[in-house]
Amino acid sequence: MRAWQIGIVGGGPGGLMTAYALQKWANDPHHLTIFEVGDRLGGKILTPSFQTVSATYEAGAAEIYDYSHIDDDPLKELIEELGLPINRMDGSSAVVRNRPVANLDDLRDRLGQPAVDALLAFDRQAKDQITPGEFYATADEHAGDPLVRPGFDAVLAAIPDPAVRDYVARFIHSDLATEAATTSVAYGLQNYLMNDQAYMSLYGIAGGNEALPRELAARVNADVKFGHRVTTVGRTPDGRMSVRAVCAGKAVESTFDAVVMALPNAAIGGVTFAGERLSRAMAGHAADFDFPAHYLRVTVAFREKFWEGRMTESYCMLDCFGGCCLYDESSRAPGSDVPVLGWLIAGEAAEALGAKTDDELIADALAALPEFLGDGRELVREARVHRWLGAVNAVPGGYGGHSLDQRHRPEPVDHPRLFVVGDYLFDSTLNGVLDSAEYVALWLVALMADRLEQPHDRPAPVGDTRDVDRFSAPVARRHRRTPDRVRV
Amino acid sequence: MCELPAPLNRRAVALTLGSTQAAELELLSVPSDSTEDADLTARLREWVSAGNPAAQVITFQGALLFWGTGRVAVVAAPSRLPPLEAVLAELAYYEGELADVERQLGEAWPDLEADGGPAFEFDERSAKQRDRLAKRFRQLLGLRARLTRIVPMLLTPHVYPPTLASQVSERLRERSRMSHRVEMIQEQLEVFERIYDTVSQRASDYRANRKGHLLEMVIIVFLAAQTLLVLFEILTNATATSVPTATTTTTSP
Repeated sequence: MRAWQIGIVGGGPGGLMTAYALQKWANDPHHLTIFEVGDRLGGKILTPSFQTVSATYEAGAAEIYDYSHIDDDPLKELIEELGLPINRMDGSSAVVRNRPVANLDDLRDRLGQPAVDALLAFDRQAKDQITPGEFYATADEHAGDPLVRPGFDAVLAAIPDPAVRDYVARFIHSDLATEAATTSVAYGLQNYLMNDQAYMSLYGIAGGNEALPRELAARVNADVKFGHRVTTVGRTPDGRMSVRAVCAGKAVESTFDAVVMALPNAAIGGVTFAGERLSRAMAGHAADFDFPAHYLRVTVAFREKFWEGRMTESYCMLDCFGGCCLYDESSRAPGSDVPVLGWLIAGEAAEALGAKTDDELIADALAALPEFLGDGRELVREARVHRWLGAVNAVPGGYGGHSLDQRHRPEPVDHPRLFVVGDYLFDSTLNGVLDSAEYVALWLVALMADRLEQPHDRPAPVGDTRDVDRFSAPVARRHRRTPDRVRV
Repeated sequence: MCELPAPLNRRAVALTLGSTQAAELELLSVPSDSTEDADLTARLREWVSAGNPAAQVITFQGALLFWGTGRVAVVAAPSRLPPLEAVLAELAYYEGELADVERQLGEAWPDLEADGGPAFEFDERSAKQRDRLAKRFRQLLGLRARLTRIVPMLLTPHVYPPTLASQVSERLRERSRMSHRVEMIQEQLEVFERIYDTVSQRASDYRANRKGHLLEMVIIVFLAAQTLLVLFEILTNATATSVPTATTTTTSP
């Protein structure tokens, strides 16, 4: 009996979750190899420290979505399984014209009763279109969902009060990471509805979200190849998959029984796929999900917590940069004595500001503080900038109406053992990438169980999905159509 | 000030100063656009903390709250005060009910421990306590009913879009750990109910058995009497048949 050789391209959350799920579920011997271009695992989950003060902050995925009050929440279960404590996060206020608006009473004071009526009408309309159960519904349903169509800007345009229209657009802008005109109706509505706890709530991992990939990596028994940039993926004559990588200028080639591409969609274009059919399929796959969205993160450690009593929640929305989320990073670590604020600049503003230097971005962020927090500009100790341009997806799941199988196996005819895992296939969230990883892992477990004997001698029959139907269908029901968003 | 919905059907009303009627809640509302007056804050804290060392202070979205058992103070803009007063009166009622159920359950523990014995062995002495045990069981069911009435209000989901009053209500429910307390009370009630249910079952079994025994004894007595009667009859008949009978013959003419 020979162990299955499985190659995973990408050491981010998708790659690690796939490896962990495979290790947990597979009964058959297998050997995992993870190719990571950088020198760390975890990808977009990044919790670095400042250089001059003892404090950490989230530079990547800022929060995790909690659906456990509706139904199964695989990510929360995984986090519990890994023994990681969590902190709940909340934020209801937005700064409008330099004053906080935290509820309908504030909105009435600032914009008048007609604005409140307009917001409540929009709220009713949004809730009529998507219920909490539908919000959680399967990804398969996403394919035929009439709300998955372009034109969320038209939905916003229907709000009669321009001030409310602007308020809603700015309130959800940093969640969308794009503009209303470049996303779907479903995505826009979901990003509005996610503020209602009937739909979902937010939490972070105590000590930093990077504890998740760290704990996964500690439990995964894989050959991790750091500094390996995968250049070419193809099929060998005997039906196996080949992966060519470059490490320190030297080419390395490996063959596997199956390969999982766990890369951001934008990075798929950087890999050459050998063979016309595979090349065409992967190019089509990348194009189907080519809706780049952008983030910039500016994080500043201060000498004093000058927002004490004036900003009482984990985050609030600012009306600068088209709508920007301001995190109280110190709220993640209640024992910390270093006050930290983090700006999440999104969409076109992030793209436009991406060319600026770190110092310029920090100055812009501090200048964007509302007047009632303006005294903090003189209290800066250290500031850091992280850029995530094109790193997330503006229309996760795409408009193509592809089934889950199509999304995860772009070329099933000649390359049935090449799989794709990614947050962009579901919702650009950590919850979505786990759904995607588990989907592919179960598929591989099914293949291993069915073709254990000399896998390379018995390539999968063309178009064979028998075992896939048998093993993946129960899982597919579990996959939610989560809000297509991420905060990094 | 506010009306609590069915099945509570209670109303919070403002009492005038100097009223002789006992109030369950003293609510001090201060109309002010500023929550940063140190002197005012200190005086309110002192007022609420009198007899309430565990009083909580909450600053939230332009409102300042001091929350203690029986005494609450709120500082907010004048336009925000009426809904805040209503929601604070409502929460104070729920908090009072919850605290009272907790207190009564706490006081009932020694009785529960003493009453645990009959759950395993019910005898003549236990039977004499039957009325007392039944009374405790009824009290327990009363507590369960009180809790059940307020639970829907305590566990009501967050409102979106929120108002300041709904946010304050949610925050206070969270700070007072109401959902956790409800869970704990329900677990305690389950223990009480299980014990008293078992005792009740034992008492019923004991009574049924005792009635059965009595009936058996009566039957035995009747059977014994019947046996004696039968014996007497047999003996009587036997004596009668042992006397020689005269033989008479008749001849035809």
